[in-house]
Amino acid sequence: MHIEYLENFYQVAKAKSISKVAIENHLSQSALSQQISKLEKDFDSTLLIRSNKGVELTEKGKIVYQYAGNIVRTVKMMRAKLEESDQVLKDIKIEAFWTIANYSLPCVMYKVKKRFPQNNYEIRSNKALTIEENIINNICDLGVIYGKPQNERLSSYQIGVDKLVLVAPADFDIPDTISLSDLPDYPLIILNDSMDLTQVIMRTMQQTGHSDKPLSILYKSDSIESVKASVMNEFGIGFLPYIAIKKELYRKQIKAIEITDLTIEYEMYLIYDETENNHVIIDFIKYFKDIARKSLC
Amino acid sequence: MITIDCLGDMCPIPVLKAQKEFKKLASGDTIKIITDHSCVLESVASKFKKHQISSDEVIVGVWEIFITKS
Repeated sequence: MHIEYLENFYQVAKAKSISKVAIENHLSQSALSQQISKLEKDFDSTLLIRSNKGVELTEKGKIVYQYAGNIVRTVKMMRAKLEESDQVLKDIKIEAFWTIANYSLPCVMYKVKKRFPQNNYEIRSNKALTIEENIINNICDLGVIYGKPQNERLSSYQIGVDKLVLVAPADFDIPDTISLSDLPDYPLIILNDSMDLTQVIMRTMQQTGHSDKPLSILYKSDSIESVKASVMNEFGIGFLPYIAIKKELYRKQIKAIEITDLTIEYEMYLIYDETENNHVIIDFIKYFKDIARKSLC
Repeated sequence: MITIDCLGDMCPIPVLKAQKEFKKLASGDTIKIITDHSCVLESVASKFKKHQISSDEVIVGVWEIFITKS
């Protein structure tokens, strides 16, 4: 017995017409009639009373109709599940701000891959605004940025905090603690990575009344590694994200200088599209939220 | 004591390095792993669960892990 025959019988009984169902299913009327006759032969029962007005179920036809309904629904569900299982293998694209992608996310991704080994993951670094656009346009699935997203369509969840630390060469002649007013006395290498660091420093200096002396900026660089190398080569001091300098601090290649009246912290946010309906992504986001705070490198 | 500097190494590299050195150890010997990746703590704990493990966060985000062969 073909399940397809049972599905067609179910539709015929529901529509009370062989011709209507034949048209809908692109079958000839005689082919559909033959399918039903075949079922009647298999069950050794007359299932339909055919007349000029259409078809009516016999008592035995009603029994077959009832069970055929269950079978049709089960088969439909089975097909849907089969399709779903095709989607389980998914490429999940994550875009994150440069430092986050390089220094904070690897440990989280290691855990995520263990939890959802069937998915492939791709991490790319990008600027915050581009990441927001890429999520909206479905170019990537989620993002991790500093600060909340500007686009109102995106949801956000805080996963951690990163701070910028003033670092100096290990043997540099500078006290371990300085105040903001001392900062202009030292050659400064600025990380120009769209965090508006200079403005943050200037604003705080103005607020605390230390704006009379300009900063002695040696140069600006958009590369963390270049600022780090410059500091290690004793060209000057510089602000760097803590997550990017742990290794050098431990090895005492550089030292951290505390500024008594300035703390620069950046909150890290997971951002995603709330209207996302792919269950693979939804599960992924849920797990990411659960573990990210504890699992950042 | 053998020290394995894994600063900058991602999981599972520190565990692989530790397993290689661990073979050379006699019972009671200790190795020290230095890591700046939080996932190393968990993977070491699961790979070396038959041995004695202790760890110390020496500066924020950098750990020294000690494994003593039982």
